[in-house]
Amino acid sequence: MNAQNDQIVVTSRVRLARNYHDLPFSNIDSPTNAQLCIDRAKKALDIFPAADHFSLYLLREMNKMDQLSLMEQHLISRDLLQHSDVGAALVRDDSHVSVMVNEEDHLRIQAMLKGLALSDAAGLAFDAEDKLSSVCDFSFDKQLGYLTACPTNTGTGMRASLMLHLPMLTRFKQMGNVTQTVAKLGLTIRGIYGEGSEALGDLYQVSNQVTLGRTENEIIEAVTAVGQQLIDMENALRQRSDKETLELEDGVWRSYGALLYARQMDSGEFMENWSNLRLGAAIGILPVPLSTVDELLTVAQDAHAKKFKYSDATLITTDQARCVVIQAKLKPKEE
Amino acid sequence: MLCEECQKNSASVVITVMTGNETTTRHLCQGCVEKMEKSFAKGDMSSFLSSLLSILSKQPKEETVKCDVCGLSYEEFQNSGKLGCAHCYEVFSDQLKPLLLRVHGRSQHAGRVPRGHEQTRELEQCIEVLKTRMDQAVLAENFEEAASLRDEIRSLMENLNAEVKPQ
Repeated sequence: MNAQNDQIVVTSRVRLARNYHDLPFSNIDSPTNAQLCIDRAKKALDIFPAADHFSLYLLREMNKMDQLSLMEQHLISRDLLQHSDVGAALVRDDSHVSVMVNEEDHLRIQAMLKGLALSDAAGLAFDAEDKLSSVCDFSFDKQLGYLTACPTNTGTGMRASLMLHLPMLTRFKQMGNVTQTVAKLGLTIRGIYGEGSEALGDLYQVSNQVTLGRTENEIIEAVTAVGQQLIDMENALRQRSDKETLELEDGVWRSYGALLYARQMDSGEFMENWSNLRLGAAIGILPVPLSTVDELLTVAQDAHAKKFKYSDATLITTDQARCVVIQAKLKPKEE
Repeated sequence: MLCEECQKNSASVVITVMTGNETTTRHLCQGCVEKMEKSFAKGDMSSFLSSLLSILSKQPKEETVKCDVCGLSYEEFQNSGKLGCAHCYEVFSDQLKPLLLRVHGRSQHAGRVPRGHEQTRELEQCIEVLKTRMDQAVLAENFEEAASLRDEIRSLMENLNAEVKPQ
């Protein structure tokens, strides 16, 4: 059952929005308060054992490429990049837990795991939250719960989201209906980089809209239930008749060929081929493990490819570097 | 809601003025309405109309009140969608409550609470249960039980106050 879920669910993420009780929410105009938040978060996480070691990234000390590369790993958000002069991120060595500091709220605590594992991810996030609150209390109101800059996060401050790969639902133009149904349940569907982003590579994020008046468990159950329904719908469409299977396999192998042998590929073309690659790997047509496919989703993105280009003087373009990165992962070692 | 004219007393009168297709509604206190009525009674129509117009042309309360901690006005919040600090939730409570209810469908937090708040919440829930039982006992004319429940509630309330104070 789990393996079947992994064929469709790429990652499960839980994020908690928290603000220190004694400071205004936004630190954009106050470098002093911004630094105080960074210091508090770092101090709280430093108390804990080496197994839970967190590295601090100060955005103002990083170049744009490195900043974008953190975003491609889903460790920081687009919004944090807008506040790069005050923004920071604390990232646990295994990347499962990260804390954005000085985004819209003082802290955005995030836990991310592979597959359908929202409860486990929530556990990691709560654990980090407990540690972070040991240095300074968070803004909390008995009636409204955790107070956040935007009232859409007030209450639990929690966003639980599943990143789902839904190529067949997209191909059969079912996503319009799905979006409407999901909205009726108080949930929302977005592209892979959050609000306002496109559904590249047939990837969608399903997450809760409502944060007040529900417990964290109720939120997780609701998102998981909808995720499970989408998994079933996508799986049903993956069982096709012979003729359709031929068409589907042809698309999958063509994309695999392009990824293996192309000499340059832009990110749009990559995401289209990536979607076919993941579908092929999930239904067992292609000899590629899902973990490799999911790794490509990060390492073949623009900022990562650009970084790789700068590391190798023979490479001329980012699109060329992308192909080298992809092929190093996909080609069997002896070739 | 406060009177939109004097910003001091609570509004008890609603005036709706229809101009063509436009409807404007203002909330006033008894005192301000009486002032208007006096000028009307004196036959001073121009004074009555000017005070009415001045009220109608005034910015609604939410656009003028500012948070006394961070200085954010409700209008600024409406533009950015972001509140400035925790105190804004109190200052703009009249406007935020319906907004939160619209967004979330509920208005009472049900999730995790910070350390130290757990006991308070348990006590409150316990008191609620006892209050319901006390009401039922009164209805059933079981006054002895009701009195004992009342004492229990009183003692829990004392504990609750002791919990809340050090916060």
